[in-house]
Amino acid sequence: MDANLNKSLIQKTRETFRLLGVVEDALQRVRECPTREEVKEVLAGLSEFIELQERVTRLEEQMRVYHELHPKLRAGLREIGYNEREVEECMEDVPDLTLADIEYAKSILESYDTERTDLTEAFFGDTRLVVMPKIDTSKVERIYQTWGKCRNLKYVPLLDFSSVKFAKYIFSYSEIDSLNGKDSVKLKRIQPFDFSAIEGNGLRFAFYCNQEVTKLGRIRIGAKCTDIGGIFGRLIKLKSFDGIEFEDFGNIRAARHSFEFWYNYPKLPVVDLGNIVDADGMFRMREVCDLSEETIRSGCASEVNLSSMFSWSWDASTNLGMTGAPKLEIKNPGSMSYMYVGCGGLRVIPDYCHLAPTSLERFYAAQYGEGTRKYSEKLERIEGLNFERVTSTEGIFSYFGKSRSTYSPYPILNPDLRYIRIVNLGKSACAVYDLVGASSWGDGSEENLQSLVDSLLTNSYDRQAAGMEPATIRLDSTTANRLTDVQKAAITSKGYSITTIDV
Amino acid sequence: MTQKEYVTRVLRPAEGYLLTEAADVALAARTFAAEVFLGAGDAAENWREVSIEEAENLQARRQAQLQTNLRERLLAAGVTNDNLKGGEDD
Repeated sequence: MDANLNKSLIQKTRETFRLLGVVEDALQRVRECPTREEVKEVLAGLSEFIELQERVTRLEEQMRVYHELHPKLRAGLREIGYNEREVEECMEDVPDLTLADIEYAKSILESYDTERTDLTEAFFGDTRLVVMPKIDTSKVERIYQTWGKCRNLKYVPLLDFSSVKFAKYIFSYSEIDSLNGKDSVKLKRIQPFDFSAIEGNGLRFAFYCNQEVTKLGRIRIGAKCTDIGGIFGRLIKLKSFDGIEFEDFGNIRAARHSFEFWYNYPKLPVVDLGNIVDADGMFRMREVCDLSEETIRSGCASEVNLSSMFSWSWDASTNLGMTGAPKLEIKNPGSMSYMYVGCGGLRVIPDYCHLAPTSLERFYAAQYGEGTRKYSEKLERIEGLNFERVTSTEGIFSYFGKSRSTYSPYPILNPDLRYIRIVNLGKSACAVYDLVGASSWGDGSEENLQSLVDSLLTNSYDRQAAGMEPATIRLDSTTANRLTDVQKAAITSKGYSITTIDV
Repeated sequence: MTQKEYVTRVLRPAEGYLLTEAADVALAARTFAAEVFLGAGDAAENWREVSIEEAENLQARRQAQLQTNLRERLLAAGVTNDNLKGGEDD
């Protein structure tokens, strides 16, 4: 029997016994010749009993449906090819399933040409389709927007995709309004499909934007696949993930936006990047998660693009998102620009001094917006950044990197960011170090102040001695004022002009 | 024993002005400063005054460029136009 129904019955039975006691008490009080007011009070106490009767009637109706309709539905699902597991899954996922829905699925099954190799938009926009019959897809090689805009589709059984070489937007479509969930399918689960034959970037955006999905089966991906960009992006209700089975994960080179906008999944789906070179926007965590004990690794021989890797892992409206940043063991980091932009819940960014990225443009910047929306910038410490190879640090701690009071309606806050450790400032050809936006840097303790002095003076590269062109260090006035005149002079003597602006 | 002597040259603009690079610098990379502590190898000729009004105009243009760039990045990442309205991040 349906577990929920069973539970409901037990609950109702218990409630009935309890209320029978209430009725018994009420009758006893009536027998004791009460006043009119007391009778009213007794009757009021019985209203709960009347509500219960109505609920019991509804429950009886459900029981009737369960006993009369469900066997017919289950039989119908078997007729459209479902195995027992699929029958039960479907009954769970589609509680309002009707015999007419199954009849429609049957008509599809009967008319389906099993020799088809291309299912491009085969069922696109079919709003009558609620449950997909188990068609023979063993010869299908191409799937594109096949079930796009099937906005009433609630269940798809395990179909044979083992010959599919190209599968994009399987249950969605590539237009921008799909991102808002318009005409989105209502699937609650994605089956453990076998994509052994997929080639190249043929799985990009395969399951993108299936916004009702809560369970993701263990997808199998073949050795010829090289790009999983956007594959599971915007599965915003996902709660259960069985992982991915890669025949050869070493062949995957790109995973851009592959796991972004997982609003309900608090763990990293992948921590070893293998040979991935493009991890741009790979994760966007919107459930509360502290990743400070996690380590993301890559031994890739080529430079790995880590831009935007966790960007906007914070939802200011719900105050949910990433609170702790992970450690990184990346052999050849490329750009780390925009990496933590919009991560308003972070308190500490770990020591990344062992990494020498090519860009740190807008690395951490919590502020962006046109409206009145305020972010919750909590960042207190950046334990280590290495400027050895950077070509840009534009807006590294602030999205706009400019003055609040003079120019900008957008405040640059970071009020708690007091400790920042930078090594190798000035060693690269980068000529401007845009460190505006950390106006509290050096404030509050000797350790904080030392981090400022060490970053700009002790650990900075002597460009003058190396015969390099002078560089500019941009600071806001408050930060610059924490440096003594001697310290400023020593910094300038190493070939840096310090510019200040009021923030 | 060695002794170091630092000489700091500080540029400050006239009232109502800021300092910016004298060279032809791309708007996105241009510096606006209330004060410049000249580094070794740098020279006062490398900086010029710019009125605050002009700086504000340039900043507004830069901001517009940044917003456009950000929107393009977000749209490319699958973020919708509707979400971007009203200062939403995604």
